[in-house]
Amino acid sequence: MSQDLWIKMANLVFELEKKLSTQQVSAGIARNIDRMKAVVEEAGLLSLNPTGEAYAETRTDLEASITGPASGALTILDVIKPIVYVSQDGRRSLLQKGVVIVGQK
Amino acid sequence: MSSTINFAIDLGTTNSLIARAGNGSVDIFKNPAGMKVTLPSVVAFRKDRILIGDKAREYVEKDPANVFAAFKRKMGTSESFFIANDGTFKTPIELSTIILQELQHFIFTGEKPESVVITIPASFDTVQSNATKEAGYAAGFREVLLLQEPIAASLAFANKEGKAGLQGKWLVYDLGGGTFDVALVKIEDDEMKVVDHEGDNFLGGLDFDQLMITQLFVPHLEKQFRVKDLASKMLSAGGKYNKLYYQLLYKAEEAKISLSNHPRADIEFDFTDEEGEEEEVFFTISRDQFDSIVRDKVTYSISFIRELLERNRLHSRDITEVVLVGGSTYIPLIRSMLAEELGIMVNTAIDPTTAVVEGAAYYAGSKTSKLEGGPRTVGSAEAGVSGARGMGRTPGAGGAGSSIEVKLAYQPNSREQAEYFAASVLHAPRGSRYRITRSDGGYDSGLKPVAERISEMLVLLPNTMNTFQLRLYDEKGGLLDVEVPEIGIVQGMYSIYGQPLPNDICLEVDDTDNNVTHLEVIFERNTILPIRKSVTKTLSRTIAKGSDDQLLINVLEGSRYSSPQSNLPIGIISISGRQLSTDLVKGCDIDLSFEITESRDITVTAYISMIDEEFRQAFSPSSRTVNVSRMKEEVDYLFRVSQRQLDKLLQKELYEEGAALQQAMSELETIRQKLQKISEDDVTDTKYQLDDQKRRLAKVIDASERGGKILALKEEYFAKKERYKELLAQSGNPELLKRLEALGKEESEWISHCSAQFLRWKIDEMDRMTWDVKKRDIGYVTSLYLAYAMRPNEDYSDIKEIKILKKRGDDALTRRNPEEIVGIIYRMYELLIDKDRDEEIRGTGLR
Repeated sequence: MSQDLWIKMANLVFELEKKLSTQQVSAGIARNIDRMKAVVEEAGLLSLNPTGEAYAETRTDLEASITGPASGALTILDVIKPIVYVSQDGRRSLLQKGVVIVGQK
Repeated sequence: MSSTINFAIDLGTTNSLIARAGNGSVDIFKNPAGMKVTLPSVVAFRKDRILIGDKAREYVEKDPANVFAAFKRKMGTSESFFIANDGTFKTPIELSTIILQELQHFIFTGEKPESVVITIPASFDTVQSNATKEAGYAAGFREVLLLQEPIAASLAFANKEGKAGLQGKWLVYDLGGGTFDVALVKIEDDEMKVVDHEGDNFLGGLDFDQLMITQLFVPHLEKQFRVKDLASKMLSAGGKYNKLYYQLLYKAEEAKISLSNHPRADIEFDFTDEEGEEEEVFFTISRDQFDSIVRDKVTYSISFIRELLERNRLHSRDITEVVLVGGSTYIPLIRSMLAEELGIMVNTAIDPTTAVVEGAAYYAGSKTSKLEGGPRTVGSAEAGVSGARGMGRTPGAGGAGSSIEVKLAYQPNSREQAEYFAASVLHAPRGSRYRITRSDGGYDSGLKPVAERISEMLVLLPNTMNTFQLRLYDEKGGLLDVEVPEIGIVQGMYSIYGQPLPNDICLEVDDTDNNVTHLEVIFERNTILPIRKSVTKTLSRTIAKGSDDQLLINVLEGSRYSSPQSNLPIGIISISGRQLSTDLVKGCDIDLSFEITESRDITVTAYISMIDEEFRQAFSPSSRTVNVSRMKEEVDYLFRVSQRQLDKLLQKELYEEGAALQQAMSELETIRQKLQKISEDDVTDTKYQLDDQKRRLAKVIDASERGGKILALKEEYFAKKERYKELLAQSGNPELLKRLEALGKEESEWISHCSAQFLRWKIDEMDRMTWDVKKRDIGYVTSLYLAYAMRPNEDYSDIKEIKILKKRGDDALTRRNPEEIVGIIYRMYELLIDKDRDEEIRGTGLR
């Protein structure tokens, strides 16, 4: 499967997990999501969800939209797409920037 | 050395790109941070650093006093931009210089071009053109050639289509993210010329995204959730729905791109209604809906073309074609309206996002440099020096940076998300700047002024080695020739706070083809605790309800390359047939989760989807779990293996080696007798003692096997590997070949000390990996068939059938049809009586 398709898969798994995080889900569904994440990882992709992390303008792994004033301590409030890195020949490189909305808590 | 210029830059109003021509093709360089080819033409002067490109664009609306975009429109004017943060002014030339310098960082080859072609809009007058040249010189180029954007784009199309393309007069329709230009181009006396042009600096794809939000998304949300005046609540910076606006802007762009290829696009997002309830929003937008809202804007753009034609007294029929440039021209409505309303053929042969830089690079590749001795492309001035981490001290090697001294200080290990870094920089020229970037592209400090002491919080990627580079630049943005060691910080791993695993943690699984078990690594040695992992395995045999048969999930600690019997069992879950409400059928999936806490408690969870049951057990090092019936099987197996090995040694008259093995066998016999006497639920520590003894003996037997058997297996392994490599290279299957070569990369780790089982398993892995290719290779299939055919008929369970099969096989060989021969081999294999049946170990039930 091509890398583009794997990224799409990583995004879909992320979205699914995000949607389910707001509700009570059965252990079976959670287990299936874990399996899907393990498969994406096996394909060499590292998918990261930066929700709640401090935002810094030095983070080139993020494509941020800033809501409210851009000063003071900014936090990642919402993640539309996860950060995806790929490991190849022992080197890790950024494959997809995380698309995030940042603002003051 | 090449005497052509080769390098080209599309210095755009919204985005810029850099490319290089060479060997008849063009390479467009990617931003090392994010791997995109486009660099937003935006510069941000934040409090203590300069950000360029994507990160700067994030602050365009939030910090307009310090962030500058679209400054290309001001090129050649006396206007300057006041930077509120430091009270200074920057001219459009200076801002363009920063973009041009940044683009040079995209050149991953380390070349430093001294000559370049830079594109300019057709509308640029002499002053504006000279201003662009000046920016090029300020960015460090010694020779700058300008090329009009419509000409550059036309060259890309012409190059694609050969000489037959682009005859007479044609139009270049350029609709980007925020600007629109249309140019009338013709060839006269073999020269390509822009005859006339028109444009609007405030029309582009962003307008379409906003129209989608206001005319499609907002009415839908207002109607479904009875929200009033959503648009103004979204657009107000302090408004309740301001976050939603940015979310929708992203969704709109995504839908717009999707609608270029599909008739419908699904929109999906979460929405908090006025009562604070979280709602899931899902609706579909059709291409017709999208077309209806952007139609007016497209019509407006076409009106510019009509004006252009009218002014030049031309009719549509005088125009041979219209070539499309800019990302927004992917929209099918634009393509169809241009064709229908103007009746002109639309050419979409080139990627519209990169057409300008591609064409400019072709031009650069054909243009001879006027620099004395040709353009010089100097190799990278930087050279990493390996130094002790955290205390690198390296004087400059020569040039402007020769007297600069840099000393670094940082923690090479960290458990934090970001680590403090400091350095002292002595004798740097006035106005110097530094920049720190992470090698994976996820961090960039931006440009910061150099002081005697500099410091930075370096953001770290979890559980890995983070490598950073510190570079110094002079006042004009030129790279200073200073050797600074790489900054390496390990996050999570090897930290004194996190406990690493001393050995591999493995799962024992069956190798049903060879009637043995082998180890599959779950957590590698040195992984930092706590850790969690899920794997899915398959049941290797049916376990009947009510039977004594059991499925074993056996977790062991030790080397993954040794035999399961010689590793330390640290946790085992047994699921017996008596616990089951229904049969477990061979092939069903079992989800296994392994979790190890910092204090080394291990929890194993097995979920069998077929019966929807979960089995969970926690183990701790202080309460080791040993399964007595499993140990009996293992002892029997070890006994058989050593008996066979002993026979071989005695045959070769290796009595000394044989004596050690005999001693091991006698001890195994003692264990066997003791095991007969203890029950599964024995409460004494006898079973642990016996297990320790068994493991010690397994190592002795493993070692004795390493003589002859391992040698033969190694020979088989290497011979097969070479043969398969050759076979895969011939069959043209690079993916498989890569996988096979990857096996070789790791083999140095295990080849000298692995068990015979492990080696056999590796050989099988290669056999399986290459089977699809082998079964189509007539030579391989023939030799395989002959190996079966040459066995005596008595080796097969049905002598009558094997005779028929051999006859059919011999006939099939003459037809040289691999598929037919393989079919016969399969059947022969099925009939083969398994002579190794006595060697069988019951196994775990997992594979």
